[in-house]
Amino acid sequence: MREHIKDLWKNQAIMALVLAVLLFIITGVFRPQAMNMGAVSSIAAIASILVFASAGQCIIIISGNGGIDLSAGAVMSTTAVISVEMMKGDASMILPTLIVCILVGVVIGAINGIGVSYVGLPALIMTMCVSNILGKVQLIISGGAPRGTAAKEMTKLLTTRYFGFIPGIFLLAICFFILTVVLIRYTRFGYRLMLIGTNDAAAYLSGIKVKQVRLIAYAVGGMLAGIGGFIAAGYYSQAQCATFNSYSMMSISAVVIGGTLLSGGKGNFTGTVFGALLLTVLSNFLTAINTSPAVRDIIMGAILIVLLAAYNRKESLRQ
Amino acid sequence: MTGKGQKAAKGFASLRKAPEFMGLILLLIVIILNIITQGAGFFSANNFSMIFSKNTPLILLTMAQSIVILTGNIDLSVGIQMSMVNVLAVMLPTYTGMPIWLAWIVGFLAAVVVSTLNGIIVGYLRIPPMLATYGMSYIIKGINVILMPEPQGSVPQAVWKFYDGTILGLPTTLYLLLIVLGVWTALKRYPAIKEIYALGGSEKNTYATGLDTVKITIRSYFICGIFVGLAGLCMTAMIASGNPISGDVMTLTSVAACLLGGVLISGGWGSMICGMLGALFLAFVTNTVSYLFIKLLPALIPGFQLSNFYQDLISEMIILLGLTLSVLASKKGRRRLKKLVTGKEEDSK
Repeated sequence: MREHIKDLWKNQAIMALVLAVLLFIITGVFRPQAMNMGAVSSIAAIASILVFASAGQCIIIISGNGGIDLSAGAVMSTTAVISVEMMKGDASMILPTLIVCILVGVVIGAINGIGVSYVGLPALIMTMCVSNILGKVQLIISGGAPRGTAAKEMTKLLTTRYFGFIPGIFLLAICFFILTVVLIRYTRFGYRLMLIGTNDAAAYLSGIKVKQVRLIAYAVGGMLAGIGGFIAAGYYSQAQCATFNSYSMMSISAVVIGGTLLSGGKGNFTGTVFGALLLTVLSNFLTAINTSPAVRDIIMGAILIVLLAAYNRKESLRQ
Repeated sequence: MTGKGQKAAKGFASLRKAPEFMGLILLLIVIILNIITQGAGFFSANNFSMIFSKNTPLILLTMAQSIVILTGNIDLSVGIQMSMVNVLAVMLPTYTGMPIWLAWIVGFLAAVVVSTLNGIIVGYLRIPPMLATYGMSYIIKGINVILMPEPQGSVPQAVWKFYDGTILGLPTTLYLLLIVLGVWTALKRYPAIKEIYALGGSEKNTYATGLDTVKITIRSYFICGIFVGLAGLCMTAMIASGNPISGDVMTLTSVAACLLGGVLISGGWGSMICGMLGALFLAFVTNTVSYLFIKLLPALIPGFQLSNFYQDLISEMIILLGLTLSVLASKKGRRRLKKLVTGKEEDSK
């Protein structure tokens, strides 16, 4: 039994899920009126958006060599701005907009990838610079404040609650989740990704084009973030510049909480999804007990450090 | 060749191997650009004193960041810590009635304490420094906003007049930077700093030599805290009021500036002077671009008008270009150095 508990404690994905459920119950204890089907479905919807943002982040972090994408949030904001500016509430523009968003995501991701894998800039710096540039590009595209809205049909599709409590965006997130898991675990690209994350040199010696695979990882990451921005714009029906910028760091937190190593090579997307769920439940809990945004910041920061101390410690030098 | 010429050639050769080389070249290029676009106006005391007084907080912050990066760690909370110093220095007199000079000292010490705490978290708990300090930045942001819900407060006129003013025709802040540089050059020889370089070079080897790596990590964050405290005080004098979150954007700028100056992000290569050069490069880039867009282009092309957005976009792109150049150059420089030391080419993938 004790061994069992120890194993569970070590499985971060399960722990994140358990913590999320516990936290949800605690929220109910503090504010029983916050426990209803509406709350469950709104948590599911918000966590879904975070899942879209974290999918690309997870792939990029697994690729190793300090891989991280600080531009994920900015890519989301950019494609969200593009979406509302292009659609302007017109349903016939949904498909062209999606294609443009995917292209924008791929191009930005590829620029990140070239900078990181061919030029040799640290991922942190490269993606941060790109994120700053994107911030300005959004302002130029929208002239400061985007005025359009997403197509009504799309918003309706995403926000309708099927069977009373499953929002459409959640169903979409599940499809997305399955696709990402298949990509990471069951494709040739996924195997190569894991190998370059674990050991660059070994991957190179076994004939993998390390730089190319890493470039593709960033391009895919950018594409997923681009799709995320499109869907988030559809869900909220409007978008401001820089709305989704906070998703960069939120998605990194979700990936880390879910048990993916920041050094790369080890990780699974299931854990990331549970990490996203935990973060959403946590912020829901903090809203439910009426904390001010400042206190919420303090608690979020402290929890991030505690979780890191529990799970993502480097091994001791002595070993 | 004369003796003097030989000496100069030798000096240049050793400069080329120094980590500061790339930062120096970049800085020279951007200064020449400045001179070309602005002509004699660039040399006016007014222009100089504005550049220095506006950018001293960033320069000090970059120096703080560079000492942490030298150990192979990173501190993503420096910007918000600077705001914390600002908030404490402005708000403590109103809350507790303590004299202003004491509030400034308390603010300075708070930055040192928080930074040391960062060092303890990174060193003892062995959490990835990027996320640990990122979490810390949220905590500090919360505290800042609780202490000062919105930008407010003021600083005595004498203080900011002194900060913006000149001594013997040179900006006050320039003297401050020179003093800081002097202290760094003096300290650099001591083992305490050499150990920081060793840790950045190879953590395992440093440990095997019998040095306490945790202690060195904490020491680097402690030094970082001192510089952040100074930067915070300078920022308080510069904006002459309080703002709880405005410093946060400077965190990543300071990391970029370190790289521009030639500090290697994995540690062990660079110096605080590199950080200073990088930050100055950024300062001059912003200066050139804003001059270009506000004065030069509208004068050359009638009816030329672009929004500020384009101006910012071009600054950002120049920064990215500079980063690319400096990384490529420092890679080459390191390979050359390695070849000199080991006598063979570094195998490149």
